[in-house]
Amino acid sequence: MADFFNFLLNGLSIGSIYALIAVGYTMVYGIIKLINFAHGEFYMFGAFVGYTALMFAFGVPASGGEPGYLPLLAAILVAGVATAVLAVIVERLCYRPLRNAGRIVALLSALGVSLFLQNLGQQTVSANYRKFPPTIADSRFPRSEVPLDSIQPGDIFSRNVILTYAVIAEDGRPQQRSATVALAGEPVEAGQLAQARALAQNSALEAHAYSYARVTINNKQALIVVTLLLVAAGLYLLVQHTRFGRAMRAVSVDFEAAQLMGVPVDRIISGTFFIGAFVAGLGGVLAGGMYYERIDPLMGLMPGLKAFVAAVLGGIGSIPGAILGALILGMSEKMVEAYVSSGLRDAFAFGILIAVLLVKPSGILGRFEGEKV
Amino acid sequence: MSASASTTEPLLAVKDIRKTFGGLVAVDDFTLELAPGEVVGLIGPNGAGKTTVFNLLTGVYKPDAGSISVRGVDTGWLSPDRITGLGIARTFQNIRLFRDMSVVENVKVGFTPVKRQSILGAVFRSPAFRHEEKEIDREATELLELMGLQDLASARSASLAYGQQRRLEIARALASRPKVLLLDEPAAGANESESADLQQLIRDIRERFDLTILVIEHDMPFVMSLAKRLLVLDHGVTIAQGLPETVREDPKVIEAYLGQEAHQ
Repeated sequence: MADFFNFLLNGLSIGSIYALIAVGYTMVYGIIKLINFAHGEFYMFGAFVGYTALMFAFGVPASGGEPGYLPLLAAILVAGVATAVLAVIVERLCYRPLRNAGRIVALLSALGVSLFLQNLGQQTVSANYRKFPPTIADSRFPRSEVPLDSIQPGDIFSRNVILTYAVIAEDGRPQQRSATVALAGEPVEAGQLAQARALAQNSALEAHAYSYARVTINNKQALIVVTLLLVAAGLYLLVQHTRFGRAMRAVSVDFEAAQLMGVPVDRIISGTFFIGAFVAGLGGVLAGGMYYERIDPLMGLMPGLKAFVAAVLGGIGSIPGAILGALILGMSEKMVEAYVSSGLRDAFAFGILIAVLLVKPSGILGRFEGEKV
Repeated sequence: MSASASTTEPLLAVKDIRKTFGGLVAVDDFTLELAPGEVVGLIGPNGAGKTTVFNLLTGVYKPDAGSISVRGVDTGWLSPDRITGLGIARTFQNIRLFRDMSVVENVKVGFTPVKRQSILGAVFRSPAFRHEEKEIDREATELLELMGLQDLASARSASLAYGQQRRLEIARALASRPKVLLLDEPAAGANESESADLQQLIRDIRERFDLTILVIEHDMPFVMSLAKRLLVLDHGVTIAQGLPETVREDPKVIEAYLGQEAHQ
């Protein structure tokens, strides 16, 4: 049962990553009925800007030192703004001139932008994976510290006791590792204990042993979920309680009538791209960077597609729908991976897309029925 | 932009505009000048090009030839939102409210051209912004009261009765403080007493907001009692114009209408 809840929390955080991408998809669709297939590349771009910022400006220097929240926050903001600016430029150059050319034409342009950004990335920064610089240390909660000195061989703990320590990696930066000291319900072995003490002794950063609760959440995953909550609250306030949001909703209901009422639609559309891409960009730093710690120019492809599935599942055009759809997708995908087969995970996700389009094309919270692409 | 449009200049000057769709000439050599305070009726059989004229005046379509200027500013390639900002607002023949939004929110959207606080002002809720928000609330409520819709302010606009929706469209158009109001069949679907109320309402708002009005209407008694001057369109061509009583007697006008009826 504990496993189930661990999977659920894990799925929740994966769903939150999808949600950070899906809100941009759904906002852009809501306002100009365009599936912006380049949106996954905004996520990728954000991760690379965050990487650059951490490597060359606010990150942990190669000489070592403690990573932390402030550099991460700075990288997130820089990446968010840079991605937003990129999106505004893409809209201006690649979508706006095609606004009256029909939806298929704009969609093809979006596919073109997507491929262009992927290939541009591969040509400029190479197609290889690169390791994201360390941001914040990994940890899981709830936990309680067990002083290593107090442990005796033969002690029995009701929970797993794990040592967290660090080694110096090839790039000269400290890298976090963990080692088991004791398994729940089993007596501590003398050899294992001695090994743990040695690892702690030589650790590059301060080492701690913790006993963990059966159901835990990783601090990075928690940070992603909290970020999503903040983004959701911010978007709610923006859309429901600001003049910009009012104008956005008006454009979304009737583009032409809104324009005839004096709403500067071009600016509203630019603003929508800005906000959606800002969120995707910060998602790239948090997920691809901080959480998975590896980035490459194609990293936006799969999350982008999953976010698209999530947006359709929730009802494309609806922001709450996109978030709900993403959380459902993330959690159910995790369950399939855990209990059925990890190989079927992606097939399951795209199966959902097909099923939704066949059974309820308007999605869970969508009202609009009609052509999706 | 020439900010100082002189008072003798017409508010709206349309010169020889022409619009074709494919091979079809929708509007041909249309010319119109509106002097401040005028109420002019635009009539003609179905498909005569009346709504196309509205779409040209508001920038939805761009004329293939000819020119349009609003308060001395050539609207050439201005986008519809900029043209609305010059002081021209409209309602729609087939009602186009923001259906999912509340009644008062529909009116508030209408304030967009005249309330220009920046998004930063909104985010930081600067005093100027809050002051403006209050102003919008107050003015929106006033407009709703004028239209008799104050009790429905928070209702979903699509849930309103047909006549109420038409009045809400007028309120939304007035929010942008237009100099010229374009009404596209305001009395459509109204019974006789509603139609009479609407006539009174239009006279009232004209007085109160110092409006110049161009109205498309099929209801002849309605438009003749409101407008001092009529233009008659048929197949995109202006076949007659002048005083209502003169136009009514014009053989070309009679033929246009009778011809249409004969074909129905």
